[in-house]
Amino acid sequence: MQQSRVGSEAIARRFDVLLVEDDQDHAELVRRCLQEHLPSAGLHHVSDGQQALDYLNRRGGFADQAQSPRPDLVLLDLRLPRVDGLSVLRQVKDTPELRNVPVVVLTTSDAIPDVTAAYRSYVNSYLVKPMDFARFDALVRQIGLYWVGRNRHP
Amino acid sequence: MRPSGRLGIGARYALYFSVPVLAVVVLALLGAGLVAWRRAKDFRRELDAAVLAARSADAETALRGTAVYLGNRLFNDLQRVDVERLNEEISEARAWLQVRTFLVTDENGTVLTDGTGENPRFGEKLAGPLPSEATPAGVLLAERGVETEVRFVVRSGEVVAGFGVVTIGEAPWQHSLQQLDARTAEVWESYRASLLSLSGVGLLVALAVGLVASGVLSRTLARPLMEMSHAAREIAGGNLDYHVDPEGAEEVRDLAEALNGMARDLRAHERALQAERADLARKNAELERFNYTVSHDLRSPLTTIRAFAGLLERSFAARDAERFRSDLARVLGAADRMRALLEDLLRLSRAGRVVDKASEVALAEVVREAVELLRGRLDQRGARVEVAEGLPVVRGDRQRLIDVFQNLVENAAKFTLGQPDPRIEIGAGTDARGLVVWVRDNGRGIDKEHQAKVFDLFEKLDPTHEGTGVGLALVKRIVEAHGGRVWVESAGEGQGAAFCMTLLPAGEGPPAAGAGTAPRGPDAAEGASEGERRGAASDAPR
Repeated sequence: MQQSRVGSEAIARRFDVLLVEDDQDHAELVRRCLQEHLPSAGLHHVSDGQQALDYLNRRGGFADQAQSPRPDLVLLDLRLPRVDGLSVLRQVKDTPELRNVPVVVLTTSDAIPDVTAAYRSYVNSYLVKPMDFARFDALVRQIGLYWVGRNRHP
Repeated sequence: MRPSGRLGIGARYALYFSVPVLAVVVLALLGAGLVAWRRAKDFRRELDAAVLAARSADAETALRGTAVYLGNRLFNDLQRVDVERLNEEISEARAWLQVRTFLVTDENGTVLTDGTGENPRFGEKLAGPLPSEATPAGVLLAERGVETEVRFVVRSGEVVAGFGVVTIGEAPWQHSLQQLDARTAEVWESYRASLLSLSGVGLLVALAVGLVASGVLSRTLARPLMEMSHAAREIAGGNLDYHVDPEGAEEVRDLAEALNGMARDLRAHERALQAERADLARKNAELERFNYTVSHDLRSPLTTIRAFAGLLERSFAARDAERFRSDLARVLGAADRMRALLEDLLRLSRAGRVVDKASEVALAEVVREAVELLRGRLDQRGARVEVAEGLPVVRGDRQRLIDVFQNLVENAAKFTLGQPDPRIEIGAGTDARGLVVWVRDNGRGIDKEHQAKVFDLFEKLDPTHEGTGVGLALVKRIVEAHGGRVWVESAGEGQGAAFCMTLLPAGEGPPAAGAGTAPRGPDAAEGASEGERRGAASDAPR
């Protein structure tokens, strides 16, 4: 198992991730892997699309800045109850204040129509959840390496 | 409308009809004309000859008479050989008689005078014969070319004084003949004129006949046929609403009606085909969605299983019993979810093949069994189930019906979660639709927009609840396989919901009175669920 962590600067810097995932088990997986590779990252988890939008727009229970900071990265599942992933993506990219938050789709679906639809709504990246734990872990690590370590945020 | 360059059928047939008639008329006229003309020519010739003969005879007689008269008149003067007096007589005669030459001779035939003063022929001996005693009336007529020479005896009684010779330039009858010529020419002209005008009239008659024939043919045959030819083209081209008014001959009308009938049938078929196509499209879309959802709903738990199985290894290695147990629980939970989904899908596919539609099933028993199966969960939530008395016996498949009620009660239990006093009522009644059975709860209710989708496969109204999303779709499929319809009635949020279905009662007799209160019938516009609408559109027997 990979023991390495993301670069030391990255560790020091605060990084908030909003995970939008309805499957509790998958959310747990992401939490554990992220814990492993980006211990200083703050993970915020919501279980459906409506909550995701509320969080991002600081509505309802998410009005508190401190509790619900603006995320530096959104990990978005596509199949969500109430408001589905694609709608969330569209609304985020349509909102000027939210537009430049990187949204990475993390889903089980590798269907081409889904990929196309996501890119049509300006998704930043599209990732398919691997079924194997080792690979899942590697993916989360790579997410960290790239989006926290390499990628520049405005 | 008409293929360019070709005459319409009416015109063509009018032509076929009138041209031969015209030809016959014209030929008849020509024949008659020819015959008449020939006869006229012959007639003319005969006429000329007859007239000629008659006139010659007349003229001859006249001339002879004139000659005799002259012979008598000139006697005295010739006897006395009074030339001056003779000349006067000649001049007189010249006035009323068209003569070219007038000679008077003595009894020997020697010319005495020719009527002129100069008298150039004096003493000339006349050639040719002279009338003698034997000559009738003492007149000799001779034709010299166009001239006629008359030689006559100038005498009184038995005494002959001399002879007279008169040449007449133009026979009087030739003048008359010319007149006759002119007259017959006139007659002939007028005859020809009338012949021509007769032909003209004949032509016009033939034309008129042709026009009338064309008109009649057009109305009874040609125009209806052209109409129908046009209609057939329109219909073939896809314009199935085109209608032809039947007119004209009876057979043509029949044809028009057959054409209309054909268009109607085509329209009906087209509509049926479109309905089928729409249905097929819908089913395909459903299938797509189904595939997508199933694949996702199986893939997710599988990911969970494999991922946490991997983590199990780690926690085992790290001797972390707590984590090990919780991760294992997750694995098993995911496996259970997969199993539940697969079972439900199997049940769903079986629902379409209702095994036994005809057996008589007591609903009371079915409901009891279904409630028993759910006893654990119902007790857990403290939900009360009230089953009305006298539920009817229906026609259907027992096991499937148990599935129906199991799903509906389970669903009701879900929706009453959080209610202080969850109550589920099951009842039946009869109304215009037939036998209606319902499962009502006092739970959260369903708002209008979701009522439409509630029976859709994998449509989970509240996804936080457990469930595969197959239950209500299963209920719908089973009820429809039994020939019934299923729908939901709910006044909205917090007002509870009633899931209703129509079933076929077995045997005679309506359900017992008081078997629960019947729900309001759904209006056409509001409260009608997708299930009901779908039911109406399906081919379930009503």
